[in-house]
Amino acid sequence: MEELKTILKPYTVDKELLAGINDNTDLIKDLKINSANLVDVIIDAEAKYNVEIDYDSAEEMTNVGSCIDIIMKKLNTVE
Amino acid sequence: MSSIGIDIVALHEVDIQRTILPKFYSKIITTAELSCYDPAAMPLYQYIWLLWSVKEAAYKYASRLQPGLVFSPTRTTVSNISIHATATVGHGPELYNDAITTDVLINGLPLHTHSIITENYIVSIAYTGSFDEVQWAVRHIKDPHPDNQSAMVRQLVINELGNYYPQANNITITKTVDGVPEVVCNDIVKNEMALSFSHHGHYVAYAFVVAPAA
Repeated sequence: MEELKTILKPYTVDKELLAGINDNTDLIKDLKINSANLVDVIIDAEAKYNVEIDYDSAEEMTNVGSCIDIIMKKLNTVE
Repeated sequence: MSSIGIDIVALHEVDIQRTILPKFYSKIITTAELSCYDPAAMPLYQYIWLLWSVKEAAYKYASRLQPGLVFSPTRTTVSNISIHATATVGHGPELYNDAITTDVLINGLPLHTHSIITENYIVSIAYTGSFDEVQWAVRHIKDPHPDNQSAMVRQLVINELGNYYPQANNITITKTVDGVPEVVCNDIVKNEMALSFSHHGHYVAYAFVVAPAA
């Protein structure tokens, strides 16, 4: 969760919103990340964890929980 | 039910160098769409964000009709990208030099879009009827904080709706669980008033249908 915050931080205008995130926190509705930055989040996650997030997975990355699930799934696939 | 979708990309907010990396744009456009790119028409980064805004506008149009629809840029396909020398788009703010039309297919739904590229932003509108029925505008705002973007675009659209629907009193804007904006008059949701808005950086945009489709 803390690592994900560092990925989301550059795209979250109101940084205080990051303090209270949980699995259900929606990236657009709750963190108010602009949709134009969602690809940035995916690219940054790929770079940080050295994984490739395919199209099908990327479109599921709408909230904090799904982001963590997909990154963990990709990490497990790599290992 | 009528619908409409609008999306704006503030060009000063995008990372141009990152945009033109294949690992970035491959999550937005398809191989077929990339093959349609004409370098003489516009820089690659503008083409990428043009297609993003077209697909977002199409998604907003479709999600009003198909609640629960998930936005998938690469499954939303854009074709027949045409640049017109001069054109007006619906009841837009002024005459622009270049208007771009496309055909979009999103989750089985065929749509048409109109886009305009300025030095500051790209704005795209998705609508199936005549664009003469569309009222839209783009405004620059001083404070780009999301709360201000949201408040400003709502105020702008409420003011403009009042001009077209003088009989509508006590107008407010709400959103469905899917994020689709709805016009509410005297606590009654007006489904016939299709509305869409968008904001990015210092720009907000809205579009609504002036004469709802029968």
